[in-house]
Amino acid sequence: MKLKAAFRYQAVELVQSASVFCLIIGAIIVVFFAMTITRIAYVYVPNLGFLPYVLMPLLALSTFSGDVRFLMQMGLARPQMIASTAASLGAACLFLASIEAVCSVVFPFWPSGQSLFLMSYGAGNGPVLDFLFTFLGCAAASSVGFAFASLQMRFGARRVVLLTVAAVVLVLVALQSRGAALVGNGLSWLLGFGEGASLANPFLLFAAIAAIGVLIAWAAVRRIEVR
Amino acid sequence: MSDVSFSVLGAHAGRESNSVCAASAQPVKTPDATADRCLRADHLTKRFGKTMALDDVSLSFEYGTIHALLGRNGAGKTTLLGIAANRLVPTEGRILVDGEPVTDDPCALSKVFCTSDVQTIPGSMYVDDLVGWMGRFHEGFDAKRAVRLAKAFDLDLKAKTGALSTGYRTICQLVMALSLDADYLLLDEPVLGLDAAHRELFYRLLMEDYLARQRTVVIATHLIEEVATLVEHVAIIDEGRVLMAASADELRASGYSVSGRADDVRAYCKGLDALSVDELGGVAVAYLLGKPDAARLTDRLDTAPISLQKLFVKLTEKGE
Amino acid sequence: MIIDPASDVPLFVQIAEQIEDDVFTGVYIEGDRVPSTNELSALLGINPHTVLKGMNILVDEGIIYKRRGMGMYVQDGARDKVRVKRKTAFDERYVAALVAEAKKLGFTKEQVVDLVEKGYDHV
Repeated sequence: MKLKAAFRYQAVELVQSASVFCLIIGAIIVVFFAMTITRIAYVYVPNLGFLPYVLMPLLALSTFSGDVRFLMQMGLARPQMIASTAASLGAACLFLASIEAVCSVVFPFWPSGQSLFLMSYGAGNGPVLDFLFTFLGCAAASSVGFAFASLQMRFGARRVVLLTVAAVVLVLVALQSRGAALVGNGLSWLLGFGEGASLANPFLLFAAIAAIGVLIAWAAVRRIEVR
Repeated sequence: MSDVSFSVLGAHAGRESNSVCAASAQPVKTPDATADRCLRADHLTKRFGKTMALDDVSLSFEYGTIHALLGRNGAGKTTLLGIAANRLVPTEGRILVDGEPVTDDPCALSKVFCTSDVQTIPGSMYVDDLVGWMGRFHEGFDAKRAVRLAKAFDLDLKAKTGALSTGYRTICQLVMALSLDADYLLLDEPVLGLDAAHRELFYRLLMEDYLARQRTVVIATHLIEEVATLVEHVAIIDEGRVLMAASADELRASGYSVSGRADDVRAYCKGLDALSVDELGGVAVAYLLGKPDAARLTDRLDTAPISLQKLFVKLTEKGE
Repeated sequence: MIIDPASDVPLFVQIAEQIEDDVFTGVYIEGDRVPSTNELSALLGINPHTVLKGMNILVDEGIIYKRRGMGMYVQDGARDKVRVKRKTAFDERYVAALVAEAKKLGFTKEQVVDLVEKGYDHV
């Protein structure tokens, strides 16, 4: 009973936020279209296809702490909270992926102007793969946000942010000295570009990131405290 | 240090209990056959970094009784209740509810509800929405009763919880707690911020609830006099350790005061372990544990019973 | 009914004494129903177990009895029982204190008897 209620509580909040996001994106596109059609200005509609992947981790970060506090008060155990959070984030990702797939079919300008996947990997890949890519990509991004949020709540925001910044700096320094090209090639391969890379790579990469993120969150949440 | 110990870790025959855990999909665990129905801290220790908030605390709250958990600010009451409510995780030891460890156990957790001033409800949630959510999360939550109680307290159902004053935020929690069906109600400073009229109303409602349901209530407070007649059992905690745990009657009878001229009082106390001696202008009052020593009493000395509040203050003044 | 939480007399004893007093003074006569544990508890804000403890003292002494499903009632002959109890306690409660105080003040036995005689006629 509690799990169902928790999922409902979290998923509704997330899907609502995602809907608002979609409406805003839609409005922006309409505004730019209107400007072009009425010849106010010749501006290309900017590519907004990357935004869902930014939205999800932000949503995860902003809702996590409050949700944990509330669910704790409602009597959920920590493993239940992890499950509910992961599931509700997944629901929001499903929602965004569906919107993406529908748009790619309904709007002719979408595959070549808005869809991150179809633009990067070819419009011929179709709405189903588009749906899957978007879903897994958002899942991976949310998962990173989820992991980050849970680490922050467990160990304190300041510590985690400082460590992350330090890690990023280290990586950048290492890249500069060692062989940025090597890393660049590796990343490309993971994302499905270049020698010997298959289209499946990015899907697997995203699935792996999503899984790792949830695992980190799991480990962090096990001893999370609300004070 | 006088180590008069009144620990009453009761072993009463278990009352009939409805231990079907509807909330959990896990197989119903058979509680330890010898475990009594109670909420029990078992060698509980909690450290926050270097600070020791609870030091090997073992304490039992018997089912179906109203308990007071007395302690000064920072004594460890909130920490203890926090662990029982699963908000905090023990460093060592555990808390058991009807024989099952409470940490992250959905079945045990469904029997416990805790109110405290730790912010857990989102400020943007409306009170009537909260009533709705309470119903979805807790089986046996009486939404109609919650609405009735809210009206009795003048709690605005249309308000956002974040917009309520401290007092009304507490009232909101108490309303939810009293409309729930949980076996163990843990109330952390339930009347802080409440005006006199609301306090009386709360105590009356609590008594009515208890008369009707006989469930366990643990009231953590530092204001013992208000709850002195309401509670049956008192545990005193100080600096993370249990000082005393006994029935309210026993505790009331456990100390006394001796007053008179300072010299006479000091003479009386010689060799006895007084909790404290207050002196002012040649007159003194001494607070001691135990029974007045008839042999030492003279006509010039007055003895009087010690109130629970005084006993508590003097005990914790003397704490290590 | 007035209960003093600050008194050194335990609450349950106070409750028993007050009901007993009411029986003695005729507030409750034989066969009358006395307030139930729950009623007293709710009225006075005292834990029902404490109230019950007090009531049980009176039940044990045969002053009140419980009628299943109906409540507590004053036993037949309760008033007499209370009278006997108080007569027995009279010596300890009043006489001893009187004599002790009289001695403190330096009264002789004859003076004390004289005072008591006068008092008996006046009050």
